[in-house]
Amino acid sequence: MSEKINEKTIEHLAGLARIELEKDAKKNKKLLLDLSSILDYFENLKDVDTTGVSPVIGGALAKNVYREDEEKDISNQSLLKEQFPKSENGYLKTPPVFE
Amino acid sequence: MDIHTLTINSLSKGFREKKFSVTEVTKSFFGEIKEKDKDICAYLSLMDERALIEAKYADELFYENKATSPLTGIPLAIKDIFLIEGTKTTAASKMLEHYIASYDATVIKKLKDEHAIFLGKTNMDEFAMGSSTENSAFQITRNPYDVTRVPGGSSGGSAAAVSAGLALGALGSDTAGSVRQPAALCGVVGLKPTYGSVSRFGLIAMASSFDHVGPITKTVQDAAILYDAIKGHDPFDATSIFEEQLSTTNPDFDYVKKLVIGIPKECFEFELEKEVKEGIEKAIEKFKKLGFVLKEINLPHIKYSVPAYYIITPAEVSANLARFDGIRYGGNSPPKADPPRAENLKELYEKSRGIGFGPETKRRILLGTFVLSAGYYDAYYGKAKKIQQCIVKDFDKAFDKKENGVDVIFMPTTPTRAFKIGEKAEDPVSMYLSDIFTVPMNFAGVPALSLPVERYDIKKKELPVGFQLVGKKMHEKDILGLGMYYEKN
Repeated sequence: MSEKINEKTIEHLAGLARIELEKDAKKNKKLLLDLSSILDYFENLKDVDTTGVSPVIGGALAKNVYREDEEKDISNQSLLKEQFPKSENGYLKTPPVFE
Repeated sequence: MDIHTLTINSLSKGFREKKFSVTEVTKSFFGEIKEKDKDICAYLSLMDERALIEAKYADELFYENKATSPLTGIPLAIKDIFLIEGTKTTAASKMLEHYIASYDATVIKKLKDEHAIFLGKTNMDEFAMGSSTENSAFQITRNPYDVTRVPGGSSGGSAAAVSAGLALGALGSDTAGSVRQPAALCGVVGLKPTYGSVSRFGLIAMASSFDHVGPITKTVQDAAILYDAIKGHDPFDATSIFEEQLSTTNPDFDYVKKLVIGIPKECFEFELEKEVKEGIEKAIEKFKKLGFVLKEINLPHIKYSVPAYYIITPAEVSANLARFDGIRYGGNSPPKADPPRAENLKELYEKSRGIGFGPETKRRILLGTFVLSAGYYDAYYGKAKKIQQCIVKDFDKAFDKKENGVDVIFMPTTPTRAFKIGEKAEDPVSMYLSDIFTVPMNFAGVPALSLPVERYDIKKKELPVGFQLVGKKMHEKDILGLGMYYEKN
């Protein structure tokens, strides 16, 4: 099993990614095993000599796409607002950001 | 009217000759869905009410001889990752279970302008991550050729719907083969166009540098009709190509017959299921018999495409899916119900994302967060982007007139035929390997078409085998033309 990752790393990553982990220890064990086997599988890439190869950046045919910075009306704001779990006077309402 | 023998092309002709009405055909399709989709489970939601209103309007167009598009009145299925204004769009995730789209995706808008009929939204792997449609939060779709097997994925619902005759065409999205792989496993046609040729505006993003939109249809001719309707520049997608893209529906077969086909040696170094190998050989034989020049070529880096893909994609996934915070897209509680109890915003994010995302999605977000973290960036992400460059160069060399100089590359679509439900679900790496022949083209941005080796009889339950034709960037007309030539001979 890959030594790059352990239960602590997963907890740390989950914190960074803002994901609450399962309460079920078995499921978390499976997650650790899956991630480890995927990381082990990446070892294959070491076989490729990439000295002097430049990484792909972008990859699209279109380059330097600019547009005018202009004001536009969004016609269907109400449909967007209806999605808010909680709202007040048309504003989105969330729990407090700071303690 | 037997709806099973219809194609987009033949139905359109039928409408024009007033053999049947759009309303009548639309109703027949909903009847068929009602009867058969309980076994296939291709659709997540149906749009029957709207569809019948649109059908009536299309009938008026035909009546007044004002219908000019080959797609007017054609019943289509849409992968549940495309936004259709006012309808539920879930990406098969609990995270978006109650989300109603507030605008149309560009491809949807284009199809609406042609007065195509949307029958409903199809099942998929959650946020398009998977190769079997088993990662849907809602249901498991079954392969119409054998209901104990998967339809492939992630556009499994779309492929199964077309294959079972529950729609005449469908839209899918393809980040690693998610249009072509399910098309191959369900015995239908799937096209991943050139990167930038079809707008992704209104497609829920997974890995933006690899996401493509493509059609799934019964015939190559139909794929060309649908592709022609959805392609073209869109100011809302910054990667969208400006150049005019030529029509692909009426190929010049004299030109097509002169195309030189390359066959990569490396494809046969992988373990192929016996029936896949036989199918692939059969297709090669047919091209030989039709008089095509076949050339052996090398794509030495394609075997590294899957591990590199599973570094780059999770990295992009972890960023793209950060927007799902349990607030902005409706959260995972029913509308107006209380969101998960949280003391502060961070806790609300963590709870919503913990409940909302399924196991594969979480796996990829965590993996992406890991490979982008400071100490590992060069070893993983940096390395993978260099390997992507090696793969891009492999394709350049194959197509370069001074090197191999082939026009089209022939490849298998998948290493095996449709596998059993549950067979690979517990082992992510073995599932990832089912994309080995489709990922390289998402790396290189070149167009690729998957089509069945032959016509398979769904009643005989013989599992289909597909192969791919890969073209130069913006040369969809080559692979679609060659595909049509193969299909009619």
